[in-house]
Amino acid sequence: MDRISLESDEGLARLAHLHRFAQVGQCVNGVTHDINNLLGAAMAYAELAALDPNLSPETTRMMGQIVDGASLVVGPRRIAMTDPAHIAVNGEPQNCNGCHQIFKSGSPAGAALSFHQDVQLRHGLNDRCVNCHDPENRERLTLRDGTAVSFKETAQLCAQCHGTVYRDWQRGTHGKTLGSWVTGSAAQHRLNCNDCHNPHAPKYEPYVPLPGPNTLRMGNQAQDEHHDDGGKESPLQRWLKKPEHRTPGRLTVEGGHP
Amino acid sequence: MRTYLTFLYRCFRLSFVGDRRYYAWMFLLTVFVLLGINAYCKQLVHGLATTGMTDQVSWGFYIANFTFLVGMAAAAVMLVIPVYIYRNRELHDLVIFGELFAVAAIIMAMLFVTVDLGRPDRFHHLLLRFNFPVSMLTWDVLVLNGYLLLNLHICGYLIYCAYRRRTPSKVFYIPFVFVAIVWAVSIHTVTAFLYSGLGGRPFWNSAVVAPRFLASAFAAGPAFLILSLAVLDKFTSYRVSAKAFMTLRNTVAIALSISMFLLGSEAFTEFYTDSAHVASAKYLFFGLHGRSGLVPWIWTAIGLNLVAMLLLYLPISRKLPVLMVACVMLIVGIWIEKGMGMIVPAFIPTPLGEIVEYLPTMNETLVTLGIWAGGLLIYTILVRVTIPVLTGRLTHDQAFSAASRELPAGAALEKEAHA
Amino acid sequence: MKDIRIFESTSGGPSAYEPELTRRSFLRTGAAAVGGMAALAAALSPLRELTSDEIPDFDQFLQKHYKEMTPAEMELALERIRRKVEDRYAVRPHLRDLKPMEGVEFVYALNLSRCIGCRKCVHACVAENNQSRSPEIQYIRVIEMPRGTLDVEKGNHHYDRPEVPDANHFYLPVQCHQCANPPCVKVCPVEATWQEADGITVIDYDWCIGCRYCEAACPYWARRFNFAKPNLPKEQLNPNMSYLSNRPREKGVMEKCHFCLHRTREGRMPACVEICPTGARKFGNVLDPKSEVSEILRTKRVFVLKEEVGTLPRFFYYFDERYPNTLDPEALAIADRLKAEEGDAYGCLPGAAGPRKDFVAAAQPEWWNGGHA
Repeated sequence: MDRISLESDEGLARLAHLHRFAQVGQCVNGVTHDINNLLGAAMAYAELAALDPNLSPETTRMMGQIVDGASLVVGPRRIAMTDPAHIAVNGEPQNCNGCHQIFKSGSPAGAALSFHQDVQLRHGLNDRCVNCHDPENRERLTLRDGTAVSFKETAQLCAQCHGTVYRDWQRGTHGKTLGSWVTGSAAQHRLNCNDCHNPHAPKYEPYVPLPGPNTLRMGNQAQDEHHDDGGKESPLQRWLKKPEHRTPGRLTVEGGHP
Repeated sequence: MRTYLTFLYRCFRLSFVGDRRYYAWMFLLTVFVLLGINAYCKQLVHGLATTGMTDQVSWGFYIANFTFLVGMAAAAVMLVIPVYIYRNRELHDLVIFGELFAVAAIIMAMLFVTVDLGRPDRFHHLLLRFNFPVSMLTWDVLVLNGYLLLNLHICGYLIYCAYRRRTPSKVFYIPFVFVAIVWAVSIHTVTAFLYSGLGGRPFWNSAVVAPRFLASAFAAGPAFLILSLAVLDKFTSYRVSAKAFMTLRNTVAIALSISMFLLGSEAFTEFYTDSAHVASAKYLFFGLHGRSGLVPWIWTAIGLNLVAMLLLYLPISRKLPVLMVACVMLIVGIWIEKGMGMIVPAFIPTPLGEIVEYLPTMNETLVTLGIWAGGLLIYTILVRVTIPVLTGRLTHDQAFSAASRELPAGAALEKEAHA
Repeated sequence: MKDIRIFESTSGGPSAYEPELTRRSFLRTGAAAVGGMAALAAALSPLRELTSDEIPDFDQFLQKHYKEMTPAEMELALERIRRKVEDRYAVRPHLRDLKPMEGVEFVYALNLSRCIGCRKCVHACVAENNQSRSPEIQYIRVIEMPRGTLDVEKGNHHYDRPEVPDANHFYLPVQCHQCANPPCVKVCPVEATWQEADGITVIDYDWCIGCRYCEAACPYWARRFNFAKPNLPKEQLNPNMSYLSNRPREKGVMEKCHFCLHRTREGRMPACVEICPTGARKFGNVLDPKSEVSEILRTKRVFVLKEEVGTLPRFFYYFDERYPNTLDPEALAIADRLKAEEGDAYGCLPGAAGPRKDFVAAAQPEWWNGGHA
């Protein structure tokens, strides 16, 4: 663009013209955004309704058409919502309430259907969005007592359930410290809970291990594990071999509550 | 002084003189020495990667042979003790051969340590910062060199006196003989402590290692002397009495029995306890997790030793050929048991439980053969020089040719000259 | 000398005094000598393959033990090493001799509950410390251990799973334990390895004679030997180095973990700590009561490996008290009760509390295209 000279009237006129265009742009943006939100909410409700097994096939198909139609408009935005850079500034999410003023409550199943498709909630018993997200203000988090906390204070939130780990984290015996081992050094910084853990699925994803030792002269030394006890089986190994003990999770509980 | 230099010069010349078999034998040894030197040069260039050793099994053939040879060297006392403490006349003249072998064995042992070094060019660091008395290896350096000097002195003095037709002055050698007796025990004890002091290797970390080493050494050493004396008796003008052979036979039989007993004690403790520490012994005797590289070796050794022991206790071994067969079996048996059977299994499994087996490479074997050939070369030359002196055919007041004509197996040579 | 004037004839019999025999035997002796020398030369011929790079020069040969060098001599040695590294790797290294810090004793703690066996530490260590890539030298071994044992013999060093961690195993990384009573230091015949004031056992790579006694003595299998000339690609050289730590090593010397002293003596974390994705590795100054490792020693049930060998390691392992909520029968019972009483309190569909994946899959209508418009 040419430089606008403010010395001349023509220059001033051009500047005013530009300002006007900017105003119009913002206005259009706001309107489309609201339409978008409405459509998004309608679409999400339609999706949820389609899941109701009691609906007639006819209604289900109609709901599907609503979703298809709405997604023509909302689609691009939905994609944008899965882009963290677009919705978060400095780690704080932006503009969540536009939708959630309409769509207050949240079920993880619903969220997974239309928006937040990147969110896979695998947080054990903690399977409600609003356990952590403030139902009134989605740009904040909430503690059990209703106190709103910012996204930068997640540790407190985690501490509600993971007391011992939080204690360890405070002491430095859990979590990761980078930069320097010198206590109190400026270079030292401690990572927060969600720097390492995905809050929606805090358990670590399995890793592909890096290659094992294999010096050139040794050839491939990969070998079977050898943990026999000289022909005798240790009680623990025998216990582990019983399949019912190895199934994780709730089966253990059922064993405890006959 | 001049006479002494003449003596050394004559000895040097004499070592190049002999009959065809002597030359053939020396030629053979020289070939192996050269092959060994060649293999060692390759090792110098490419590093110890030319051996079968790894970080898992970081000591192998070289250290195994080193251990065996220290024992052989120490075994000279089994001739010295009867002679100087129990006044055994039969063995009196043979002591010198035992000590000469000790000299050769010590040199071989030190060569084996040297070829095992990753940086032989930094050998002088031993002189500059000697971690004495903390490191057992420094003890070993001291006792081995000390023992070498003691034996060189005793042999050299006695031979030189014979050369000068003088009666050896007791002041100049008897104290050294007694020091050498204690010293001989010490060299093998220190070598055993080298291993048994390591808490991280349960297989070695046993008080019975030193007695075991001594017992097996006192069997293998005199057995080797029986063989070499038998060769001397057959091929040279030197005569060894049957009684001397029988005395050595008794020594060998008893030492071997003690050695087998100690091996049994060790095995019992390991296997009856059946703790986690039994892993190495299990690997050695029965194989561990399907790896059983040493099993054939150790059972061969035990078999050889048992048969040898049986033979030695039977009257049949009064016959020299049978005695020699028993001695060969026993030497091989103890060489395996103490070398491959003592050094290698301590590394398998590693302290972190990994099982990596060890097999010496061709290059490593050539270096080993080269050192053995070199040691035998030294021993042959020493014996070759000593016999004419001791039998009075090479003395300071005789012309050199007199000795050279009375060669070992002189009769054969004369026959050749007439033909 | 009269008595030995005829020694030339020694190979002969009674006719040894004949002059022509003397000449003949002289020729024979000469031929034998020449042949012998030729054979010896042939035997020595592999030495020609030694490059000048590998033969220590005069300065290096005369270089003193680390502890005996004056600062000026150390600077000369450093400059010599810098030149050598530059020749070999075409990089000017940032090489210096870092001394222990005052009032610092390093301690390492490793949380076995958190280690997932990904082996990132192993490879970060190799990259940081300029180890030989082939033959491969690694300071850290991660052992996959079955539950119920700390007997490393039952572990597997070569586990090769598509994914770690495996539910029925835990992972035990082992590296140099920087013992307070180090058997490796005790046995070294030339004092080429010793314990520094900050607890790190170091090796003077220019002093080690390569006898490998320390390797035999170490109960943790922490020491490595350069069996061949280390092979390190030029572009992978880490130029940040110190005399006692990660400067390139020579063939025939020992090396081992040194807690990344070129980093830690400048206040930084070791490479293995920095790379660890789970925070299982903890490092710090045990003399500082506020340090993380002090806190761990104070509050955790730590233990050392092979305590019975009496080496007093500075490397501690610990497990967290860990009882996942999902396995707590009481918590699960409460959750079940709440669900039954409150129903779908937050607007969830019936059944949403079940395994989410299955629910979504079962509930998908035929027209559902996976959520992509």
